[in-house]
Formats: sequence, C-alpha cells, structure tokens
Amino acid sequence: MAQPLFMRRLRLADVSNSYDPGARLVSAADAPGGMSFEVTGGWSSDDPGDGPHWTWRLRDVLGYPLEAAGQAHWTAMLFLGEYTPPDLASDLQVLVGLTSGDAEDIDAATCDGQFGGIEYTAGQRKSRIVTVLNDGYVAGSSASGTANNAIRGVHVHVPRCGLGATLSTYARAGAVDSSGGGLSAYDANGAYPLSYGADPFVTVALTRRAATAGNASGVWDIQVGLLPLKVRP
Amino acid sequence: MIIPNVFDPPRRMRLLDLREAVAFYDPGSRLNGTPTCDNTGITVPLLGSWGSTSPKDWPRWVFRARDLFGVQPDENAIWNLQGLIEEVTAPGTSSDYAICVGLISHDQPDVAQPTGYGQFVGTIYNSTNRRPHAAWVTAGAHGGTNTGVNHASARHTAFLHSRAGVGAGHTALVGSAVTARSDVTGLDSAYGGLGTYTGCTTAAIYGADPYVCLAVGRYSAVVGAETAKFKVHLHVAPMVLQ
Repeated sequence: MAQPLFMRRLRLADVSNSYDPGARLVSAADAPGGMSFEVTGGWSSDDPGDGPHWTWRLRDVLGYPLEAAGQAHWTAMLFLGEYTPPDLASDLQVLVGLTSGDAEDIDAATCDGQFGGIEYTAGQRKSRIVTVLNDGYVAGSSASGTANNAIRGVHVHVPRCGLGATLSTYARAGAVDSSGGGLSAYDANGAYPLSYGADPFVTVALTRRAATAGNASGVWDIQVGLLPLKVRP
Repeated sequence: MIIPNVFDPPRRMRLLDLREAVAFYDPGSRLNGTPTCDNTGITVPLLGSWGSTSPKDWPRWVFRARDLFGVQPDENAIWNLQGLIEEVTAPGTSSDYAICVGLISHDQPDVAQPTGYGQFVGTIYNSTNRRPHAAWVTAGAHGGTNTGVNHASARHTAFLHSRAGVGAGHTALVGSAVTARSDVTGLDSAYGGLGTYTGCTTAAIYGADPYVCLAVGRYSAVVGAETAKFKVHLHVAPMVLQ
C-alpha cells in the first residue's frame, strides 16, 4: 500500500547556478559522502543570500516537471546529513531550502524560500530554520533548536500547499536508529506567505552566524524528494 | 538504493472509512444520532451546548496505522502521515464544529489515557469563518493548541504529521503542520495555499505501532446540534535515502 519515496542526492556537477556574494567561498566539490564546502571566516550573517549558495532546479533533479503529474498537493522532502563536520565552534550554518521558481538567486527581488539546516556553535550542533521572503531574509522567522551533539541529520518538510516547514533532526543520517530514534528537536515556520510557484529550486546555502576567524569546512550529504499526492475522487 | 531520474507517480491517497476503526470513544456521549460513512464522506451529527479545544474530549475513531497503510514503521527510518480533510457539507460557520486528524501513541488507542500522546490538526468553524487548528495531548492530558488565521475560502485542510526515527519506546516525534487551500483539483501554481497555517511543536512519543485518530467535536459550547460531512484523505510514504 505504501509507496516508498526514493530520495535524490544533489551533486555540484548538476547545479543550475552558483552564487558567492562577498567572495567567501574557498572551495566546493563533489566528494565521497556528499559535497564538500569550505568558506572563509571573519564575517557573519543569518541571511542565506549573503553567503555562498547553489541552486538546483527541482524538476531537473526529479526528472519530471511538477505540473505534469497533475498532483493535487505535494510536499518537498529535503535531507541534510552530516558526513564530515566542521569545527563545532566555527559558527557555520549549513542550510537546504526550497526556493521560488521565478528567481534562482536568493537575492533576486521575488525570491521566497524556506530553509532548514544545522548550526555549529559553541562546540555543539543545533537545528536551524530560516525564511526568505521577497528576497529578504526574515529576521523574525529564524530559530535555532536545542543544542544536541547527537544531531547528524535534519529533515525539512516543505508543503507546497500553503506555507512553512516542519523540521526534525536525527541522531544518525540515513539509517534506522532503533536505539535513539528522533531527537525531538523541532521547529516550524508558518507565518509567512511564501510562494514557490510551479518551477521551484532547491538551494544550499552556507553562512557564518558569528564573525569567527578561520575557514570552516565539512562534507554534507544533501538529498531531495517530492511527494505528490492525488485525491481519490 | 539509487534510482536516478525515475518518475515519481503521484501517491493516490486513500479515503478514511469509519468501518476500519479499531476503537471508538464518545466521552460525554456527544453524538446526536448515528454517524454515517460511505464513498461520499463521513457525516457526524453532534449535540450542542458543550465544547472543548482538545480532541481527547471529542467523539473519536481510532485506526491502526500499520493496518491502514501496510507499513510496519520499524522497517523505515522516516515516514510521514499526510492527508487532506475535504469539506463536503459544511457545518454552520459559527457552530464551533471542529474536525481533526491525529497521529497517536502506540501503546493504547485511547489518547486520553495516562500514557497517550498525540498530535492533531484540522479545522474549526468559528466566528463565521474557517480556521486551522492544531492540538496536542501529552500523557493523556491536553497539552495545548495553536490556531491559524481565519480564511473563509478554505475548503480543504492539508496536514502532515512527521514521525522522526524509529524504535519502540524511543521514537520521538516531532510536530505537525496544517495548511488550508480553496481547491483540490490540481496543482494551482497561481494560487497555492491560502496562507493559513498552524503547527504542533511539542514532542510526542509514538512508538513503533502508532494509531491514526479522527476526532470530531465542538470547539466551545455553542447551543444547538450540528452536522457536517467530510472526506478524509490519507497517505503514508516511507522515505528511502540513497
């Protein structure tokens, strides 16, 4: 009865566009375990549009246009798994989000987006949720979950029908963890009228949340799936 | 498992049928007659002059998730219960009639018991309007509610209960979300959701064998019996990472 949802792994080789406002990117490459990134230090922003970011057209990742399926409702499933962590005191935040189809660049005037991810701060990991609305990072929309060093992955569920996202964190990425299960870390954004359009993008963004000196680098496995739902007449 | 560029067929949601319920509770005897259920929807008549914001106090039907969907949750790291509540015949929009669908804990189908946990989301008909409603139950007690923004055009409420992790006795789950939209016939790129949203943010313990709960009640003590009809569409999809 239940149809499994097979996720797709994002690769830099397939990226639609990349942006590096402020020239903070040191390196980015496909790597064993996912994608490796390194960014400079000494700067800070909560806005995913202020740091290096990459966009993938969701329909290209999936292999079909969203309209073709005629679905009544869909939810984008985004997964961010930590493969190699950065310095846990680096104040790096790594985000994955769904962004609107009419603007690939987060800083474009019409871009809306809903992001979730992991923040590495004060020797700990925290879940993180961030909203972008009409190109602007919505300061009141961001939140950090409870610090938990067992966090190794984040799932972000973004419903097309309406707004917001739910976010949950996992102790182990990509594996059934019968001893620990979920971590209870949770956050939700829903107060902002985001418009993803019919041709949205997946965006990966990195920023430093505090102006900590020194580069920060790590490897993350980022996967995407779409769950289209049809109503039985 | 790697399956690149495979077309994802839309998951056809199943209709919830009261005849598949494994338990029914009516604390306070609030039903006003016999509910009916067929392919056109579920009709639940309710008495007036009583009310509660918590689905644990409402008439409710309980379904075993693994029987509804053929999913044994332990087999999968991640799955989500998703669905739509479709309004077929609306109650009075000031009747405080309310409908919610919940995911509840494994060890006993009645969420109003000491170890019962549950996250519920749905719609209330209040002050001549429609509004998303989220409520949660912790250890059998009402834990709280969140309500969304009124939107008179809402005719469908979409919800998602995300279940994180697995493992009997350890599964911590996390939250639910509800949105409303005015149409359900197709992807509406121009309109999308209605902007109404609410969510549960309290962790619940679902365990490895959770239940689905349909709860129908009165949000506050408005006088007069009320009847409404809904279709409840549900789907579960286990997520498989590469």
